[in-house]
Amino acid sequence: MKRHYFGTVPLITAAALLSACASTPPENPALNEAQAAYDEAVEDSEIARNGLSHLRDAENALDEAETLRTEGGDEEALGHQIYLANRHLDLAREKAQRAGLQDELSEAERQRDDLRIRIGERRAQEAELQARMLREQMDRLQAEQTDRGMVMTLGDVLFDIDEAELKPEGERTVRKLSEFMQEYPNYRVRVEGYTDSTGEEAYNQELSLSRAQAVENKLLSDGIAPDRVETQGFGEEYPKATNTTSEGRQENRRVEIVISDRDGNIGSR
Amino acid sequence: MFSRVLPLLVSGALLTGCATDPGQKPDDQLASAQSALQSAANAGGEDVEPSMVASAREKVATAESMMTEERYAKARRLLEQAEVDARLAEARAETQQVRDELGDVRASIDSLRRNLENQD
Repeated sequence: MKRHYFGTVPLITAAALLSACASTPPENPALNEAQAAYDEAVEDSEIARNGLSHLRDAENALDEAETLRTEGGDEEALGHQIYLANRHLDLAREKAQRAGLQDELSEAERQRDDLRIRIGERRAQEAELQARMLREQMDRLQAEQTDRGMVMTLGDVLFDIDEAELKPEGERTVRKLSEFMQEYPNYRVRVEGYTDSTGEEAYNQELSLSRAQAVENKLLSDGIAPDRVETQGFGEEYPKATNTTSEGRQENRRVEIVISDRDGNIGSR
Repeated sequence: MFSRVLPLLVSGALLTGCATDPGQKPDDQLASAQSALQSAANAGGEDVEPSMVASAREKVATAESMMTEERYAKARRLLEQAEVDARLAEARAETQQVRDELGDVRASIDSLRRNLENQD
């Protein structure tokens, strides 16, 4: 009797504990919510496609949570699994969102590249047009391509004999240069005077410089900024033709205008 | 004597079964959480989800001190939570990065379009 009595107390205690663990499991609203969120997520094809591994993790956590609920496991462990399930669902949704953005990004990049190509083509066309217009200008100035760049030559006949004065025809020619320089403000010029070998070298040097300066003065009076024009007198140097014939000498008496590149750099002798 | 002790042992086992199970030391979980935090930091997670990252760090710190007291089960949960927190912060930072990039590309599309229109 006594033995029986002492034996039953612990057994009853154990049974009570067992029944506590096995009693009808209460509903858990947080778990229901997480389960509903999961059901919604798996229905979303974007989430299913991009967040599959996270959906699986969420499912595992939900399964564990469900087991804990039905077996009456401790609240903290249950809450923990629900927490993990929700985080994994967040991750799955995040991956889907990012994949969507990435698609948009690829499309935007394609559009941008397309525009760049179109603008590049447009620029090339414009550059070509600019180049053609410039060539036309050079033709108009009768400038020729040389090692120093485009060079425009004013012949002796555009000056009074032995004088640094430009004739009206010479002024008209320089006027064309002024117009070009006004239209293309990046360009600069160097005006170089030359003579034949007749007479004193010093005189020739001076005359060549004076003629160059006459051209410069004309440009400045047309409104060209002084820092865009240089002058130099070469006198008898660099003859273009022989000084032994009158035709040759006339050819050597000249002013050459060296036109810079588009950045204003002028090639020198 | 023996038959009296046995039921006590059984109920004792059940009691400890319902109480927190210390389990194994969650060293792996600690390493995973720390590595997730590192990845989140590298991705700029703190800029996008500052409080999420801060709470993940806190969970790791708390878990570490619990581990010294051998409260392994609780520490393990905190570490598992810290890891998913950090992973989510990282994922959001990465999404934000794509969003920012998209914004940049769209801005450049706008400016290229204006450029193209101005040329006409």
